[in-house]
Amino acid sequence: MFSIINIIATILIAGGAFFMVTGVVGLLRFPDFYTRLHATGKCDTLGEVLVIVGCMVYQGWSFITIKLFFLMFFIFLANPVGTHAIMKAAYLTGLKPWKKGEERR
Amino acid sequence: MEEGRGEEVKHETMTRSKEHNVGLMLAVFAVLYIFWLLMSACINPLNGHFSPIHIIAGIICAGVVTLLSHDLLITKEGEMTLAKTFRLIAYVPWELWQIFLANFDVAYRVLHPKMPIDPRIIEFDTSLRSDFALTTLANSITLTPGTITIDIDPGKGRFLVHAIAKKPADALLVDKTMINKVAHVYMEEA
Amino acid sequence: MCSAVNNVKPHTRIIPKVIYNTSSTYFITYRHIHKIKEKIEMEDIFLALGLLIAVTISLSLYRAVLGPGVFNQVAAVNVIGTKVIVLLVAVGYIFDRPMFVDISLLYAILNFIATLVMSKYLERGEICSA
Repeated sequence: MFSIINIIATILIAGGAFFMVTGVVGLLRFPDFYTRLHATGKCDTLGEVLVIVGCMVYQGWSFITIKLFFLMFFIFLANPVGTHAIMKAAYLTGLKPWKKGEERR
Repeated sequence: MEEGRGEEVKHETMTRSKEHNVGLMLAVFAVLYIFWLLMSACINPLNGHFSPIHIIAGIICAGVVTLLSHDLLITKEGEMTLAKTFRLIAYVPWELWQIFLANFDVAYRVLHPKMPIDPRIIEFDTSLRSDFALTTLANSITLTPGTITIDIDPGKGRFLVHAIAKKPADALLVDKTMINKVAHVYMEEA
Repeated sequence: MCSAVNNVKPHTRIIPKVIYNTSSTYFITYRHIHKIKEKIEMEDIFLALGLLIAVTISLSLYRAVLGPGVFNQVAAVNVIGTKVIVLLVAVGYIFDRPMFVDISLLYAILNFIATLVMSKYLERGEICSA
């Protein structure tokens, strides 16, 4: 277990899991729709990228590494585009943003 | 007569006008076919599955996709694309470092017991006009914690951005480091 | 078979072994391995990752059911889809089958297109303007 590759992979996977849990806690805690998208659209993407890089380091040089690299590349590009699309739809339909001092929605 | 003209206009907007450039089609076919071979593990001579089914199915699928939509991958517009590609490859590591550093900021804001947020919506103009530059800047703004792009006006280069506190909003309005770097990559500085 | 399970010594790992014979029925036998676990293997880390992601998925169901308005629900479903991708990769590593990465690549594309189509419908009221 205590080879250097396993330790690096464990550190990367633990960091990725920490960011994912932070993202979902932000989804529950924030008071408004726009601020919730801030938490999930960024922390989720970075946490996933770290977990998949950890799996790539653990695997070594094989074909699964190439597939994991394509998966990471696609998630890195697609998640912010989805976040922006849903936020644009909400803004153009007329959802009002939250200012400091109002109540939760 | 007016109904006839209306139907003509509606029919024109449904189809794309394509020029069948054979060189571009072959390049797109090559890219798609290499992607297929990588995904099905056919290239490795030691333990690859050298079955003819994978190779022939790859030719059929890549050929059909190339015939239908070859003008979406490699477009003809844009000049000096090779220099722009090199500058883009040099821009990516700086952006990754910024993303990694600033995600700790969002984690701090989520896990703090008082939750120090102060959301606002800001709007600014840039000097970028092409599709690639606008998309790159919008993605960079959405990935850097603190700001998310809401809307873009491509005629004037105007961005509508939702910021979560005063400090990330100032980094975009007052400092303008990211906007200058993207304008330097795509050679569209003001 | 029940009496064999009752004779288990402590600190043993029981691995079920599935045997397929030619008439496509299967038997399950239990093979006792007397090994005391003293180190943490890589498989335990993937198991912990899978459990943690399952907990986060069930936490974000709260926002998917109760979110005031439809936009909160769409955002929560997008989050659940993103988490399922990583869960599939972790499950593939636990059960030693590397083909789950292909399935997660496909599900990433499906989730992305579903979010785009939902947001386009909510913005305009129709999907394609013909």
